Amino acid sequence: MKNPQRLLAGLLLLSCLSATVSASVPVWASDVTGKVVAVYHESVQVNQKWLDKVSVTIDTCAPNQVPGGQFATFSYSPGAVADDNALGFLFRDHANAARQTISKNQYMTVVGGHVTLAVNDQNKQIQKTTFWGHNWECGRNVGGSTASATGAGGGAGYQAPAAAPATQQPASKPKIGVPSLGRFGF
Amino acid sequence: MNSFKKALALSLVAASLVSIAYAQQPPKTVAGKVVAVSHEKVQVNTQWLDQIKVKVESCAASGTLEEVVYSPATVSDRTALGHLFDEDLNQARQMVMLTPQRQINGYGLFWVDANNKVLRTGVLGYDIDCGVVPKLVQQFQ
Repeated sequence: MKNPQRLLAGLLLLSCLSATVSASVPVWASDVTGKVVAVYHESVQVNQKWLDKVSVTIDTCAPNQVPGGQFATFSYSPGAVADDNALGFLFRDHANAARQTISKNQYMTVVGGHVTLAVNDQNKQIQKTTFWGHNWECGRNVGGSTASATGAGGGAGYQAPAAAPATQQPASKPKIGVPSLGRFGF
Repeated sequence: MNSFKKALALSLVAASLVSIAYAQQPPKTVAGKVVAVSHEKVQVNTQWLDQIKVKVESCAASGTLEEVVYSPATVSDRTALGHLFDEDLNQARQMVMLTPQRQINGYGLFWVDANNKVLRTGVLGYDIDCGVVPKLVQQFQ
């Protein structure tokens, strides 16, 4: 308390620093994996301009971790749907993913149409889209291959904002008799 | 004469209230298996535009067809209407089979205004039929 002015200046500097740090904190994205069940289009007005908004509903692999359960819906930032841009491709590919059939019986397993969406935790907008191929379900191969995608690339569950790195969620059916493999199973 | 003016004013107010209420109706949803997509040219303000209409076998009333209509615009690779035309057509082509194996595909979910003009299109995927529609509608509430 010998020099209150210096103390005040120090506090001011500290508050400025903390404000700068909080402003530069990255927005965490959560990975959500599941089967695409529907894709939507609507026109929305943004700054007096009509844009296309594409949303996707997925049947999640981790319903207990998604607010609202089973289904979760996320949107892309509004843009223009056209044949020569990403939003156009994403719209079409999500529609194709939604139509992919799932068939599981004693003779064969056919799974398709799974995606992993990296979703901004604040505005729920999709930042990254990963389309999984034939027989990939919830980040793992269900068609006889021993490959599995774990870690950041194959995160299957909705992560709470605090849990930054995406991790593999417990799969609905535990893999039996498969030795533990490295990331992506290689 | 005075009473006539009063009646006229009252009727005008009532008519405007009715029209406001009509305009502010929340969008309703039309859902069902997409069965047909049609295209026609329409003239809007001296300009020829493409109008797309979609028929669904209604979830609300089994065995009946309901039709929704997109606002006239241009169908092309570069426009949303072109892509919607394609996707709705793909939905219509999807097979529905209940036996021997359950195959459900090609349903559509449309948010429409009072004139059945499409406000939002939902392209529904495999095994998503009328029973799931309320859960999907809930996603937007």
